[in-house]
Amino acid sequence: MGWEIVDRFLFAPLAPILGVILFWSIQLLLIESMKHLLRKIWSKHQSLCRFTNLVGLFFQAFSHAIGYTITKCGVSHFYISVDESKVEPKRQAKGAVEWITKVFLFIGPFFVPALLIFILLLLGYNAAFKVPAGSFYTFSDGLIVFGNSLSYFSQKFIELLVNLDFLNPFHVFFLLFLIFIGLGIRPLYIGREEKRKINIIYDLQNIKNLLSERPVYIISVFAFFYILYYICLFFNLNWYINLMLFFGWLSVISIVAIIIAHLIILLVKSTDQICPFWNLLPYVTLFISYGLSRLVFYSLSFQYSISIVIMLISTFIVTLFLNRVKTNKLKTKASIKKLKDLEVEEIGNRRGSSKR
Amino acid sequence: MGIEEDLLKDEHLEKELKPHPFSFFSLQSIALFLILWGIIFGWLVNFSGYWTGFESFLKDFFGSFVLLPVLLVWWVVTLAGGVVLSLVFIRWRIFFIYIFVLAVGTIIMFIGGWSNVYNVFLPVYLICIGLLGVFIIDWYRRSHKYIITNFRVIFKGGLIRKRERTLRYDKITDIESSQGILGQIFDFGTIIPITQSGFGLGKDTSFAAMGVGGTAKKRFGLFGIFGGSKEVQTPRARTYYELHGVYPYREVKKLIESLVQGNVIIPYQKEQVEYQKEQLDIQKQMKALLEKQLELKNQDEEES
Repeated sequence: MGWEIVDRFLFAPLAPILGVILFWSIQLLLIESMKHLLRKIWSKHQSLCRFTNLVGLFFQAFSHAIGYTITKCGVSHFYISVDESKVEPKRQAKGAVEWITKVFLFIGPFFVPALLIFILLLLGYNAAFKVPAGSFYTFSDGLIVFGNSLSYFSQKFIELLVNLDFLNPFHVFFLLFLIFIGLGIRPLYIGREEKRKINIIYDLQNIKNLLSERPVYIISVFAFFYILYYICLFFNLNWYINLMLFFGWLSVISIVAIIIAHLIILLVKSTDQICPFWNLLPYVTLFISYGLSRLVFYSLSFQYSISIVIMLISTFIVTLFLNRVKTNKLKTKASIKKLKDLEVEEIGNRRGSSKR
Repeated sequence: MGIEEDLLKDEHLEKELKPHPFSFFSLQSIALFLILWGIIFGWLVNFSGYWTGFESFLKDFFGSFVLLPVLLVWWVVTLAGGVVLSLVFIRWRIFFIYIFVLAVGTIIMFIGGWSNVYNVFLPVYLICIGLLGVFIIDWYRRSHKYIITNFRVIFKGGLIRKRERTLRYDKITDIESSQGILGQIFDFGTIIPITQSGFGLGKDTSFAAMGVGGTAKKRFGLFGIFGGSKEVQTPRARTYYELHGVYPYREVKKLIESLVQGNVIIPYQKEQVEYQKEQLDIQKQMKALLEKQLELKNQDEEES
């Protein structure tokens, strides 16, 4: 009985918080992976990378500006370009206010873009947001309730995506917006050269500094959540979990958007290896396979989902096939590889002899 | 005609440029709106479930003659787009072009007997006109040519009337350059060379007016307008008189800057020129003195 009380009052409030942190970490890892992919295509697709920079920097500046507005610091200067963004307050914040603006700067860009999709979903597809039926009184129950609710939302969100009708302009706009958001949930900069080594470590370092600089504030945040939990415990515990679920939903939206953006970047990267003219074929397949599938499965109730699946599979197969057949074969020939190795060895030997 | 024919003696080509395909996006958006609205309208009328409900609602009012409200929607949305674009670009001619396009479309539909297939004709007509617009604007873009040589910049452009401007670097006083969002993404930008005569400068005018009107006891009327305007000089030129949307922007800008710099007399050179002038004056004076001496000598000889 004693242990249960400790669990209920000490550990149970942490369950949804840890859930949110877990999803946010996945988001962070995916962002890093996308950054890695973008860096690989930088030399050939500078415009695309600049565009993603601009979107990312816009959301970063926007979050920063929201931080200043909410804390009543005001915004005196707002500037964004493909290389940098700058937001300056009207009056310099200090203490807790400064800390809150920093929270918006470092954490806002991860959630603000997803918030736009969330609003769209709320307006057009609110069936996805199901409030959990059962309450939780232990840490494990908390995790289960949080997980179940998020899993329900994820399922509904994926259902919505695979049932998009690409012959409907509004559905196409929604997908384009999702891709746009996916490219923008990346408050990191891809430069001409890797001058600024901003990566996941930089992000975590910033957040660590944020937490360690003012430990009192982070304790206050935790205290706030605990107090909220205790209040909700007496009235309705769903309020607490719904607040946490809100961040969970945003994370799920972000993760899905980043995965879709990944697919686009992967397609671009794969087609780069195919020789000119043939590299257009995967994109053509994308449209033609979808159109044909829609025609073939016109009478079926699941025509939208099957068409999307066929579109994805056929594009994948065509890209894979072209990558094998219509690429520069010399690169993969063993003799050429051997020659390259020999050259490298020779250069190494020369360097060694010159040192001696 | 080759570029070589345009070049003077000792003149050589540094760069030949054309505006970037996206540099005329603001103009192309006028045509793109028609294409986009054509697609949405086509989908709405032919495939959307919303339209079926709307059509049955219309039938209650108009009977079987639903073409009129459909045409009304077609006109109103297109014109609304025209108003927005006109306000954004501060050019009312866009609105009138849209009216013209809609009027021609409506006339063709009725004269050609296409009114019974309005659901196909109206969107297809808009998409076709939009595509035509895109092609014309791109044709106009391709008519531009900027030739940068070691002596001057030659600007050429125009679809029907061909225009040309030649600008020597020593006449350039200022260089204004700008890059929009698309320019930053695709690395193109506009460079406006401003000359001593003020070529390359335009004016931004804002006007505010207030009117007061009223009548008292039927017979007396009062009416007055108060207004004022402000003008700000700003670098502006026609696309064929500036380096519009040139790619790669930074490289071209640097080239122009260095060519202008190369034609500007730096202080040391200025000093040298002054010094040479002084020397020339001294030489002239000496020449005059020598001539005078020679004259005097001749006079002495004659006298002796």
